[in-house]
Amino acid sequence: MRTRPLADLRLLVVEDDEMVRRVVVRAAADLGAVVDTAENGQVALERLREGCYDVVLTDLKMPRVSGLDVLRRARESRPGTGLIVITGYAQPDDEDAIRKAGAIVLRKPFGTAELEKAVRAVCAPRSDD
Amino acid sequence: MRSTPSPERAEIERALQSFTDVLLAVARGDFSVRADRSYDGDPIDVLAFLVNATAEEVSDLVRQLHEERRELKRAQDQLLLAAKLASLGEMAAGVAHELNQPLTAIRMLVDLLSSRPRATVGEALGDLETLAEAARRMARIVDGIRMFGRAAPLQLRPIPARAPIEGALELLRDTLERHDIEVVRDFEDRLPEIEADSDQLHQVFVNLLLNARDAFEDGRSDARVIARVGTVAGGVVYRIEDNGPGIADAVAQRIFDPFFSTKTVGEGTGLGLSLSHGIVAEHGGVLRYEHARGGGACFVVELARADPSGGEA
Repeated sequence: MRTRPLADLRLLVVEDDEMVRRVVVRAAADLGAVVDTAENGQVALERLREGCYDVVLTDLKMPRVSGLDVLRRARESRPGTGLIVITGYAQPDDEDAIRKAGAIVLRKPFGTAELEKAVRAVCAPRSDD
Repeated sequence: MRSTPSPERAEIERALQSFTDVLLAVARGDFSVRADRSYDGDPIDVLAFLVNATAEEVSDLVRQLHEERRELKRAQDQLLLAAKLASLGEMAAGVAHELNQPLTAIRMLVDLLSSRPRATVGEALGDLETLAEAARRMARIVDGIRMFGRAAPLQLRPIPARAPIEGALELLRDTLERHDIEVVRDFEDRLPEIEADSDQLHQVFVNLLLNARDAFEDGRSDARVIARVGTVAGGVVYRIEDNGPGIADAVAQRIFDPFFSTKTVGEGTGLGLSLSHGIVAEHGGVLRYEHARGGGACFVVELARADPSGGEA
């Protein structure tokens, strides 16, 4: 039996590209995480009101409610939440804003190993919780 | 009964015939004919000299005109290419992002499939289908970029009416998203085929969508572009409508003029709409501007359907 590196981790995947969302969910579930999804920033804010997540993985550029708004809300609702921004391009300004929001960047295209590494990286501080 | 003309009269008639020959030749674009000259300085010879000099001058002017026209055409071609390259440069980041989406799917799925070496084809079928879908999506994006380098004559063939606008929306999905612009598609269910050059028409919709994108001021939270495709008797009507500030009448009269631009110098080529207008006209269609209902801008493209008697794509 394979080990499940992210067993029982509660993960919210916010991505408006249906194909990317589908594969990220598949990969995260394969790693043992319990995954919720949101197809845009507005739905993400609703999910954050309703539930609690260990890690929020979000796209950056989305209409209306951006990834940065999602990060801020996630932090407010649960300060220990691990934050990852998945993006195909990030201007230096964006990267600054992402860092300031306490998140790390996972650049597309990424594979399952990078996904796992990023999730582990933002989960590390949780051992102090 | 006619009397034989005097030698002087005969000489004048010969000279007039010779001048007429020169002028008729010039009129049909042949500048090689010259009047005979006696070089004795008499009035007829002076006239012959003037006719020849005129033919020479006209010949020079025409040659110069041709040269300038060639030069102008070259400059115009370069400008058109520059306009295409400018829009391509503008889209480069967006295109990279668009390609990274399916690439992410491909990388993840390959990782997932290789982590399950014993999975049967049946179990992997869903993933393989997603892989194929990702590859098709990348091919569509690449197709979208390819036409930008071309300056080919129209190649008309029947295509689904929604194809060129779908292609443009797909190519610009990212750039519109980055500008926080919501895109609403309002396509009639049963659209016919149109007789069109798919690449060039695709460029028209790219230009119209980029124009709509640029209509919005930064930071606006309810920016929206509505892409409608519908049918009228014998034709297809496309509408690219935005809820931006719209275009004032005085400006609207000039928007299809080449090099007319309201953008800051260096930001717009002023060729996008005039190019688009030309492409639609070459298709036998019409591109026009209308005020949108909410006060924004609306560009309308009307094209004839491929088979006016019916038939749906």
